[in-house]
Amino acid sequence: MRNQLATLGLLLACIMTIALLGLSGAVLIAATPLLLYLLGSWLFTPSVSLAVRRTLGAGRVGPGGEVTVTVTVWNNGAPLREVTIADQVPAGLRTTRGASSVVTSMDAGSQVTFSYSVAGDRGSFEFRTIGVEVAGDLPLRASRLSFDVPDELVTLPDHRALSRIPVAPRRMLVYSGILPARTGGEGTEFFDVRVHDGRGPARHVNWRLSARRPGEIYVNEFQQERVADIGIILDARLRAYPRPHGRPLFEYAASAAASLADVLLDQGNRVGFLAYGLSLDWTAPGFGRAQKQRLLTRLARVTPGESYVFHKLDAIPDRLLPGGSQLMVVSPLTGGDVDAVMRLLSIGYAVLVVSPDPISYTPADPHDPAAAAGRRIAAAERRVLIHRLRHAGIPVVSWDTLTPFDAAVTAAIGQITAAWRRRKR
Amino acid sequence: MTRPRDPLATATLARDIGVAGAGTAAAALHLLGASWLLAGLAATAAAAWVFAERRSAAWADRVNQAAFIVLGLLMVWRFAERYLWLSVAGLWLLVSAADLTRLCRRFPADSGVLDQRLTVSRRLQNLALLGLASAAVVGVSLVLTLELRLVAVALLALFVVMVVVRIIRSIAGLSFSREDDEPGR
Repeated sequence: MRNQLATLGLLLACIMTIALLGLSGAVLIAATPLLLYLLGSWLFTPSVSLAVRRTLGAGRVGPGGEVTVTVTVWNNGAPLREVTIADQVPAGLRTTRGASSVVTSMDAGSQVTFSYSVAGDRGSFEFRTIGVEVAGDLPLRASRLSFDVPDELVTLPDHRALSRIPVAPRRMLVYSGILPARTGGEGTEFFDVRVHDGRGPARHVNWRLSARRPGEIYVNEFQQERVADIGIILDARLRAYPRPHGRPLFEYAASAAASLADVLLDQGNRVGFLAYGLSLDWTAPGFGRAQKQRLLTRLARVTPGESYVFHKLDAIPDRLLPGGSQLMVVSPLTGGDVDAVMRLLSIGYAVLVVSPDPISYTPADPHDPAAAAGRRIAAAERRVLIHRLRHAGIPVVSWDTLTPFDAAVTAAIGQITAAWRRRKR
Repeated sequence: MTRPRDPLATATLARDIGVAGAGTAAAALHLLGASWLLAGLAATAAAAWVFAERRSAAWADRVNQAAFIVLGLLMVWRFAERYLWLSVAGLWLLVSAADLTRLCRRFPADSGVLDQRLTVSRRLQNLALLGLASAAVVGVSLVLTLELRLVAVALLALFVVMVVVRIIRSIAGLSFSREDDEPGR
């Protein structure tokens, strides 16, 4: 439209110049249609009174899930001949069905509704403005209106349910759950025997042992099962992740964190979440389905970033979770991270590291010997890092992202339980 | 019984007629002045405009703007006063072609067929009114011999009126927008 106005204005200016240079009034008369069109467009710009609403089919969807966006516009003023309504689709979302803009005409008091569907990968997408352009019968000039209609669509991270992941925090909560608490009491698994103190049900009496030791009656004790405080720390430092090749490695890390949150909250634990990157994005610990939705939503919003303050992992605050709780650090690991993770262990946390493997993630170039040598060196460095952690008593799930996360965890269960057992001794 | 024509097809046909008419007028003006090259240029510009619009290519916008300027200038280049009516008719067709090009580009495809027909017919009526008004002005100018100075003053006055009207409307719009400042609902 602006182009059209400029073109018409340019032609008019040229004709007037020709007329003035040639001192010809008739040339100016010839420009009458242009002038009248310009004047008509100028004078008959329609007065606009519109109301706009956008409705999202869902505020949160799973990965790749489609959401229908419905836009309704009411015309509370005069009839409008040419109305262009364009909803601004946030970057990162793709339109899968329909169109996000329409051109229509509207009678007085009428309404226009149109729908389109969008889908996207993990993320938080903010819908902002709906632009409306209204032109009159001579449409050289149009009224442009921008309606600020904020909406948010959250696409949750892609995560699969884990069968199980062993956790062994140093301290349990008082609430009963399914984690063995290593103390005797009510439970289902045998833990120890003790001398009967006259309390408790008679069905717990260990008759065989009591018969061998006359004068005393022994009763079986069962291992208490409790819930624990667990903190999931997602490394969101940009420097920790290699250049994306297809799906970014950070997406794998986020989906691993989502899977952990899912299984740990299903077990009844109190789970908190910290995204460590551009800033500290902390979600306080909580239980249950509401907390799961909170964490998944938070995970959907996390983007990797770089900060001078959080350049290394050693700035992880050590007062966010109670001492003795279980920490799960999801990070590809870089050179300086081992000491920071070991510091968490030294101040009383039980630490488990889940590390998406950046070496196997990066595709190998068989024709480049320098790249192959670099890859071997990087792989050796990573082996050293993991060895140092395991040697310190921190189990590491090294995840080749070509395999499912569940398979990586299942393969590492023996190593994890062995590490917990060594710690007990 | 014939089926009623698709409104978009009607608008497209009217646009092509407008472009072809403007090209013919510009070519005729230069054929009458024995300028074969300029006549050929006018015909080429019109053909390029129609071709670009029909192809709906990315460069269609630039082509039709260039053709608009070229055809418009050809209407008054080597101007002969006795063919004033032809220049005015050509410029009217040119403006109509530009207007209908826009209508085809931003056709209210999402409204009902009746509304589409109404939109097309109103645009054609408005353009016809524009032609009539232009013809009236030309008629008056043929009857009254106007000095350039007088025409220039009249044009200046027209611009002043436009600016004043625009200022009044913008002030009125400002007071309205203060009242209903709420952007949406």
